[in-house]
Amino acid sequence: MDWLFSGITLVLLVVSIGFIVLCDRLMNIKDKGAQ
Amino acid sequence: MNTNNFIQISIYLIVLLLAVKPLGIFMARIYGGKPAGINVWFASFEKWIYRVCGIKVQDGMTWKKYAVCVMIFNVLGLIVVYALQRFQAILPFNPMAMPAVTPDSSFNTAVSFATNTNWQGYGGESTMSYLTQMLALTVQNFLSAATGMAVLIALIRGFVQKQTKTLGNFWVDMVRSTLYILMPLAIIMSLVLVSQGVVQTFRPSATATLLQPMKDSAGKAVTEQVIAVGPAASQIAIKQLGTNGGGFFNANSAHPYENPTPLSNFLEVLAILIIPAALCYTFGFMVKDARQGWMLLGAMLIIFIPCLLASVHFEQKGNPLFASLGIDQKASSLQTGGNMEGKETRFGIVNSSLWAVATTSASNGSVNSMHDSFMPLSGMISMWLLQLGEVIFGGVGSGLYGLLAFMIVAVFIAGLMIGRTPEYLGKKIESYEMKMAALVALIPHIFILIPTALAVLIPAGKVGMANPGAHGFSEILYAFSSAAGNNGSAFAGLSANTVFYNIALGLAMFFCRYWLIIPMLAIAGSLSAKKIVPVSSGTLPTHTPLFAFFLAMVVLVVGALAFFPALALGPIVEHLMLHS
Repeated sequence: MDWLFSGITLVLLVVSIGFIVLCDRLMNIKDKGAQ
Repeated sequence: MNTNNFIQISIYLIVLLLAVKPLGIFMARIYGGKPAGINVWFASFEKWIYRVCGIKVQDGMTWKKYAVCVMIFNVLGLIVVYALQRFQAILPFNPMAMPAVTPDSSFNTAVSFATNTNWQGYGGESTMSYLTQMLALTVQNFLSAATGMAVLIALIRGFVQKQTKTLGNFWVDMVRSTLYILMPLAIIMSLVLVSQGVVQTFRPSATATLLQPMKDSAGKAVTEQVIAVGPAASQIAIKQLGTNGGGFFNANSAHPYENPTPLSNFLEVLAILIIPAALCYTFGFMVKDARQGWMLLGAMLIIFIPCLLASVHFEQKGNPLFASLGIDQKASSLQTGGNMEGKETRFGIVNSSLWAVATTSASNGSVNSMHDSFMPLSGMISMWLLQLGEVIFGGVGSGLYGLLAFMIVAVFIAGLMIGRTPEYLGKKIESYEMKMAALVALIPHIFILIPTALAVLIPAGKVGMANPGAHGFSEILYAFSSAAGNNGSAFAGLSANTVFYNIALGLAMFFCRYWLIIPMLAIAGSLSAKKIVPVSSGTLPTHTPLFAFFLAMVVLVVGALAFFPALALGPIVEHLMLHS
């Protein structure tokens, strides 16, 4: 069970960093649109 | 409502409002690196921390770097809390020989304390060693609160700075929040609580011989009672100040060793709101327009005060089922009257309702009465305050940055209504900020409504319900509202220490904490890079009482539209059945 929760925690961290990247991409899309 | 109720509520609000300006200025000076007394006295210690940790104070972070630091720091904290629970049986400061906490409960508690939620699926005195209470839970009470404050300060810098890519240094903001604001307040509060009789000891639980022996459920004679003690005062001080809420004892602040006197009760409920309220003034001070801070506080009070008065009213009115049993519920010189089920007679109606409304508006989650036993409509008020996104005071830092997301939505709507370009504090509000603000407003809705629907459909969700029908539904809806709002209080009837609830509530807490922080930091980064537009005749004034009312209405409409159908299935149906 400890491995399961370690895995869940790791996945949560990875998808959250992915979410940061996604938000940054959205910001760049806006910049391109403004140009 | 009676005169006594009005006097007690008035004293509370007056003391709270008197503390807003001095504490707000103090915090603004701390974050601005300006002399504020304590930061001069401990300047060399602060520099030593930076030197040891390799932190360069002048190194600003982009919003992405700030967000990554928040995530990594908090996930590491989560892992430490998990490990301490799993290994507590072989670690010191465990006089009652507590065994290791189960993996699913450890995960839930680790997420809960890292996210400032402090949802407790366990009983503190029967599950956690002193080391776990101190090193895992109390430390996270400081760090999770400091994280919320750091994110808020980064957002404020986004409004203040012009054409800058950095938002300050996360590590510096964390150190200053903890060292200069939370630690001193918590130490003072701990000492005052100890003076009132809150326990603070490393001794094992005491054993008392019962004057009147009893029999347990198996018919076995019980002659002794174990009285749990421990290092409670230091944890209770920060659980209130940091809007964490996790009690040392299972009964939380209804326990006489957590909250023994009227003074301790007043100070603890004051501590719930004092930092979130003062941060409004900090905001106004840092953006160099104190009126903006008062406006945000006003918007909070526009929702808070009616909710408080309504909760007291419904509780003081009493329970019609009790009346039919011939129970006297009238207030008199001998009793507080009203619905006293689940409440301490020493606190009565007004202090129980005040605490319930303060703790659910402020993302605190500590309780001095059992919300499960409130009348359906006052229970609904507490639940609705959770569902509004914990922006009415909210958590330290997180409440105000959540309200600022609604402010962006409000400015955008107001701009559309009157045909002006949406601006707030000189920053143009464009599609990107609106998209991020919409995420902040809507992500909690997803993690409340969908898991609630799932829980009432599957056996794993229904097995924890102690009550059938509308009240059982309310218990589940409240649990996910509490987790998603990072509040942590519970309708106590739900047995949530199961694998399903530990994982589902853990995920709700995680996503509704960090997936709101990330868009807020993205907004901060976007705003920070923009120019500041000078005030002109075309600028929409956002410091007026009218705008405070408008902002409160935006918060209410978003909350009301999303949750009214669910509330209709729970507390509203229960209220109608009670009076049918």
